[in-house]
Amino acid sequence: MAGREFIHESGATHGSPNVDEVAAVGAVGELDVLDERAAQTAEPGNGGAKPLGLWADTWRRLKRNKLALVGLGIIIVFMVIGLVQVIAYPLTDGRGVTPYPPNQQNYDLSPQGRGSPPSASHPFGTDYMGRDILSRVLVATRISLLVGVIAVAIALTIGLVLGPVSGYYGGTVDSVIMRLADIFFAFPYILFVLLIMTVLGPGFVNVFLAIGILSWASFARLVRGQVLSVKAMEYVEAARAQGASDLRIIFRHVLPNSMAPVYVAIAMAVGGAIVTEAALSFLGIGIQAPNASWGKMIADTLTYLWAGSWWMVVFPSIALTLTVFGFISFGNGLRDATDPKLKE
Amino acid sequence: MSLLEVRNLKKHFPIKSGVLKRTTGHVYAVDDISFHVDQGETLGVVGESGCGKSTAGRSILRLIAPTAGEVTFDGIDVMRASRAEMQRLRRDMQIIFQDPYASLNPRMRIRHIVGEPLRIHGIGTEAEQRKRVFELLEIVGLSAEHAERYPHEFSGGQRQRIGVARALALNPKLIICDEPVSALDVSIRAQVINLLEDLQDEFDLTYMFIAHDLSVVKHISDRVAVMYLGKIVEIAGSDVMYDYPQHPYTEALLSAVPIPDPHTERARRRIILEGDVPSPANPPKGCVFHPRCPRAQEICTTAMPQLVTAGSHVGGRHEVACYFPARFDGGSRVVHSQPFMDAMPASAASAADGAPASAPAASE
Amino acid sequence: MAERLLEVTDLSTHFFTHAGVVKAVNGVSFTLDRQETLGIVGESGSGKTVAALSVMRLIPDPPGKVVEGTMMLRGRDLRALSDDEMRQVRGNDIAMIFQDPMTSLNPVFKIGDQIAEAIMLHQDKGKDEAWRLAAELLERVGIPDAKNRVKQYPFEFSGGMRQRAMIAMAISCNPDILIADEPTTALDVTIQAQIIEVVQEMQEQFHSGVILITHDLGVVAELADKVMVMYGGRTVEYGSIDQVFYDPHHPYTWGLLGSLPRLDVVEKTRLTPIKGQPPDLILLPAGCPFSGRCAYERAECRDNWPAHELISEGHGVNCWIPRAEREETRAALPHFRSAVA
Repeated sequence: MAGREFIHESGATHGSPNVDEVAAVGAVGELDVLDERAAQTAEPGNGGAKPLGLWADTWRRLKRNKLALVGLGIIIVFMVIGLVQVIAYPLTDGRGVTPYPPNQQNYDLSPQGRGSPPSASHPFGTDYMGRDILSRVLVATRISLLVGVIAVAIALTIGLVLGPVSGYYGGTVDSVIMRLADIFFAFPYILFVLLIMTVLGPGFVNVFLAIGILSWASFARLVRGQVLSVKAMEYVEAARAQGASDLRIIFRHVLPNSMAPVYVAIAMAVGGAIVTEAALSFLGIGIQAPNASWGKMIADTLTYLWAGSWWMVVFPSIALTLTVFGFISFGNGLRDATDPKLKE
Repeated sequence: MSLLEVRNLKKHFPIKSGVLKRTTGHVYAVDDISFHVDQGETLGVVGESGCGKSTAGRSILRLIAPTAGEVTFDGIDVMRASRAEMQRLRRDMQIIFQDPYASLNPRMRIRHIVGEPLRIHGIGTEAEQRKRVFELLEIVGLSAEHAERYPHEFSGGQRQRIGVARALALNPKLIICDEPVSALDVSIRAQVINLLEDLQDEFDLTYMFIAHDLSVVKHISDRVAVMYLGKIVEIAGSDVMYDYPQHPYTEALLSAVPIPDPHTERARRRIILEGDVPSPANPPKGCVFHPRCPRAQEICTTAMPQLVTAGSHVGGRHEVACYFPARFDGGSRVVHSQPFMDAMPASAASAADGAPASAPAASE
Repeated sequence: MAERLLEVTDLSTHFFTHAGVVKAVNGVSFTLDRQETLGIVGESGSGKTVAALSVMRLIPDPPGKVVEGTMMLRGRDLRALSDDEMRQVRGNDIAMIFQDPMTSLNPVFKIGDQIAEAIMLHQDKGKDEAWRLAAELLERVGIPDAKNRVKQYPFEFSGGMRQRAMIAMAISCNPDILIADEPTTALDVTIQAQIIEVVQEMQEQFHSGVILITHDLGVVAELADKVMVMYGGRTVEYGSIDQVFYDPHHPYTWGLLGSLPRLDVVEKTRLTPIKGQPPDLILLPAGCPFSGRCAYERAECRDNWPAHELISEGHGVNCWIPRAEREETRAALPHFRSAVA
């Protein structure tokens, strides 16, 4: 809105304050009113609609996007398998819920050291050590889920604190935080992750940390953008007028209303985290033996591809690709569904 | 002693431009205004875009930090209050906003919105707070069952009522109403206006009612202040102002307001002002109104006239900032050709730079 | 005898959305003669803007559709025209000014470009001539220094000036009808007075008919010759200004007049609001849309739309309350005793 004053002690207006925005009733053209009504289901007597108005509309639009629904399906399958494996892993002493113990070597099943192709008893075949590939793929789902969730959680924790703080206070605080974010943006992601892993050393937890720490900047920036417009809203002024502390205002009023683009970013980020972990493990600095991750599986078995044992590489690759594809297409669909300007 | 006393209030917003963000000028949103509001009365503040009325309201509450001036509320110096004192003060001074769609957090239930002031100030147990919220909703004409809903389930008029309930939560003494009915449908406006009037009677509230709609302001106010480009140009009792306007801007404003009565409309004499309202970043020298004033003369370009009493009046104090105020001695309207020198500020030499300050207005 | 410019009969425009059918306009009829000003009065949800857009055939389809009615512009059936023919009509025969001058003008084109475009589209004039005319028009609508102003961009104009520029654009092709949709709502009251004056002048100069859409009864009292009061998509009352303001027959009209604070009232009277909320256009009752809010409602109101009743020449109302009873009820209303002459 042109010329709105910012309620900050340090604020400067750009242009003349035109705080007399007259007759919003007339300004909201009747057609806009129709759109708003049409998007909700009405109840007589209170001129209102059901509480789920905002999300119901998004879901409706999402349902029309076949690709996004496929993505959602993939995500759900992935989550279920992954969750099962995560819970079962400590309980079954590293086996998870699998047809065969994933690390059980059986050289009988690997004649000529090249593993055996898919068969009735081993639908994905066995690898060069005779280990069942289906079991390994399933167990590796745990890693991918943990990476996706934990790394993104770390990034969100940092980003959803620094972002709103930066946007709300503006001035020096904003400059400092945003320049910090710029530094994180400036470096090529993979190289930066590699750098951190080199410093931290390989291993399970360090992978999560590395990916998480490097991803906060995009969340922070997204949230900050929304915060800039939300902080000028009258309900934020109202909170100040009641004497609310800055903390309360930022985390109770501003942040919850700034989340719209973040949900899409989360979907994308999870997909990105999974791929990054795969890349790290592929390069050998991620997950270590005997843990199985898709990336590591591909790394270990790539050479056998030329020998003709395609199943060792293909199945983990499909799992990886499908999962990431699921997150990305759902993310895209979500973005389209929440874009108010996109015509249906 | 008045409940609210404002003296020489100023709010200048710096305009920063260029790579180095240097201050290249100022927006003189509020430029040296003084007035008071007594307990239980309603002061209407009226004016058009850029006149500074909303900024004035927010400055009084310290939602915006004023550039200069004094605000005394209930005997306490608001500008110099400590953080703790300010928290206490906030319980007594509240605000209702213009936009019913933007003044409620869309993600909070009504019960939380209305109850938040109580939580912030730690008043009552959770059960007591809940009870109070239901009470407040009833007072504004809603019901307890509305408490669990979200703002988007309500119409504009209902949302405005929720805003009123929120403002009442802490039993304030003063409520600043910033265009509370402008964004509402015509038939709903009357509901909210009546509600505000009833609440004033019931809870002995004091209102500062800011609006651009003169008809509404006249109806609800006891006294009215007319603002133009950051200054108060006239302040008088509601009826007196409308029957005996002294300032040319007030006259023009009154004649511009359409009246829903065809006979009256056809019979009216219109004063149509030339040009647009100047930008508060670049106010005219001398009297801020002189470029558009139908009776401006040389003297009007020298210095901004002070707000003083001109002529005798029925109905209490009537102040105007003009060198050629209209007078109504003996029932007929007359404008003297000689300038009214009482309005000339003591420091008659106006500064050569762009900062249009004048000597303190002789109010009170 | 003035020439009849527009005749709209039984216009109904519905929007077909997934949440239901929004019956924005139902069975609305009105006429407009040359040099006449018709005020269409209503609040949000009344259908006044949709009615005007229907005449201009600017209703987005989907989801909207003019489902019924005839619209005759000087004898031509507007609904029967092809898209191309309608485009000829728009701007040339009927022009529209919208409410918000800030968003109705294209910010990346100069004012002169936008006015000249309309001229070149409808008249056989070259670019230079069109620009010359544009500058003339700006001067006509009262913009100072028009020759230089015409080369400026919208952001360099103030709100009032932008509205004048819009009026200039609208009258550039000398339209028979000017539709003004809430032209002064977004403006300050002193600027509003200027714009009203401009519209009146233009009407006199060009002998056009004006349809003024607004919720402001004061502006209607000032500009209009006749008035149509809409509620929930229907016309509840219509008549000349004097008839509707001084002899109103519909409870909604009473409610509107009674809920307005007035500048010229001497004693402080309490406003008489209309209880309830504006109507939900998806869940309109089969009968009178004002039922539920009407203080004088009777059993048949909700389910049956009242028959049209002619009170006097040019003055009609749709209400189930018998006339005698209406007049009695009205006489007892506080605001009719004090304010109305």
